[in-house]
Amino acid sequence: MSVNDKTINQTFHLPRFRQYALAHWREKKRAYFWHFAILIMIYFLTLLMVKNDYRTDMQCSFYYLGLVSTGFIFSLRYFSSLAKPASGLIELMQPVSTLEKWGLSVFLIMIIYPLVYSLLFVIMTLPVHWFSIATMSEHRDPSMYQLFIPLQDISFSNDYKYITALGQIPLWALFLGCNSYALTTSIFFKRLPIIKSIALGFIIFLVFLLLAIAIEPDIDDLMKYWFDTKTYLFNVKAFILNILWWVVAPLLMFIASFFALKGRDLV
Amino acid sequence: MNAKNINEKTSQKIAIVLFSTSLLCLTLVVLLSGNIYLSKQRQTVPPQHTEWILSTENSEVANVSAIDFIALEQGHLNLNIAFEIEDRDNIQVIDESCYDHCNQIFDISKLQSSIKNKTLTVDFRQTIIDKNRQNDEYKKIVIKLPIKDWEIKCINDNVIPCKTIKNKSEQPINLTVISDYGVDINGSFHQLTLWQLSGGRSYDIEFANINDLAIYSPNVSIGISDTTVNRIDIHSDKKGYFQIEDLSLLERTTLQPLTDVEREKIIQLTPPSVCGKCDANKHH
Repeated sequence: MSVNDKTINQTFHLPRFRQYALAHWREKKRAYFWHFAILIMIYFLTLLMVKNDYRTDMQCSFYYLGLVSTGFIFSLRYFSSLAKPASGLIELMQPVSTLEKWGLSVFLIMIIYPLVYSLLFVIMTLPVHWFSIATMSEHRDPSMYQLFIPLQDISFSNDYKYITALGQIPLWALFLGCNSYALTTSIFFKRLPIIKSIALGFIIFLVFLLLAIAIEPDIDDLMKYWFDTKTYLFNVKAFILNILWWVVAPLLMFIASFFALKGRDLV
Repeated sequence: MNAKNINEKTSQKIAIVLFSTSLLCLTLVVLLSGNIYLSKQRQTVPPQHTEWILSTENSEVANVSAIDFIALEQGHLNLNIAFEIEDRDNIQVIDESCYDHCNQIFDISKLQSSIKNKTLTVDFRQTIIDKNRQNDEYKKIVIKLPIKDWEIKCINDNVIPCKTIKNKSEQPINLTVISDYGVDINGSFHQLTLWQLSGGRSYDIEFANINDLAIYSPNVSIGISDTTVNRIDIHSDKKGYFQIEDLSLLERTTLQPLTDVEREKIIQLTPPSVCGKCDANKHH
């Protein structure tokens, strides 16, 4: 081993990470292009249905529904090459550390994906928003038809803050949790990871559904915390439960994905 | 190679532990959640609810089996009162949707003053009447609440949008009420109250299903031919976007919420809305 090799950080080395990212892009760009092309087509069909009645709350719902669901699919497919012996071996033997592999997946799924998705969403929504404003009847409240920008407070004419930036945090936590789950399970299951991940997710969902039917929890209360933090900030029970649900659980799932990859890595 | 295998297995175990802990956190929250914010009040009020009697001044009307706090929002407490009427011969339930339970919405400020006397007055005039009641001699139905250390926090102190306009010309009014609430209104009560020149309330126009009104038919036109109507109140228990067209005949051209004095005046003026003779929602 040369002197230069000794100076290279084995855990994280930026030039190596950059090379790995470029190689990944060259290999996967076609798949990513098709993912977003299908997403654009689905959203285009949705816009055709809403026509000129595309209220801000509807935009918000479609935005987060699309973000969480398509993000989940994107994450499930990210390490899909591991399921095939040949391509999986190549991926696991890439001359980069586990942290770099995991780091790139997190960078693409948690940062780049929402940015590209948001940009596409706003670009596609803008003409429909203008059309809604231009053809609006005088009986409608214009403030209900503002353009939805993620993580921004939106007030309506009745002076009631309907969509708040803080109120959207649980939805981002949901995005983080779902994607971390998809990453962890898609790495963990060696054969048919996508089907097994979805099946396990469905079983977990059923268990929680049965639990919810038996206990009748008020899940709305968990959302309420973020909409009115001034009132509930010092409510200890609300604080602990909200942190457990929206912060601790998604973060644990997030860290689990790293160890799942580390457990399979061959470098 | 062995060390590598051990490392891999340890990592996999850590991943499984973290994954399981994450699910455990979610389960714990589901188990502990329930009604997070009102749990304190719930602990202090029940189980004495069997003592709560729905009664007129002279006779008991119904046994109250449960009182449930549904929501505490916008300065109002939505109370779900379940009751059982034993003496069906003497008691008539006007509103069939309120046959064995009723939702009552209370203004927080008024509720707090009621609680000082440890008595909560519930207006059941629209839903239950005591057939033994003579003429218009109306007796309030009272629920006695054994409340101690009960605290109500006002979350969002918005008032009910109750708006008043007046007819200055004593001519018929052609009125269009436009409501654009959006889809988030559920089961809200929507009512127009028409007032006669003499001061008494003439009749109510009620929209039973606000969803029909707001989404499928946002514009409701009402031709009011009664020239004695000089004032119209619009009531809703939700904040929303209201607009009234054709205000040329009306004294006020802008819609203003009622002042406290006006609101108090209406409460004092309001006669029993149910006729004791014919059970209709009118006056003779």
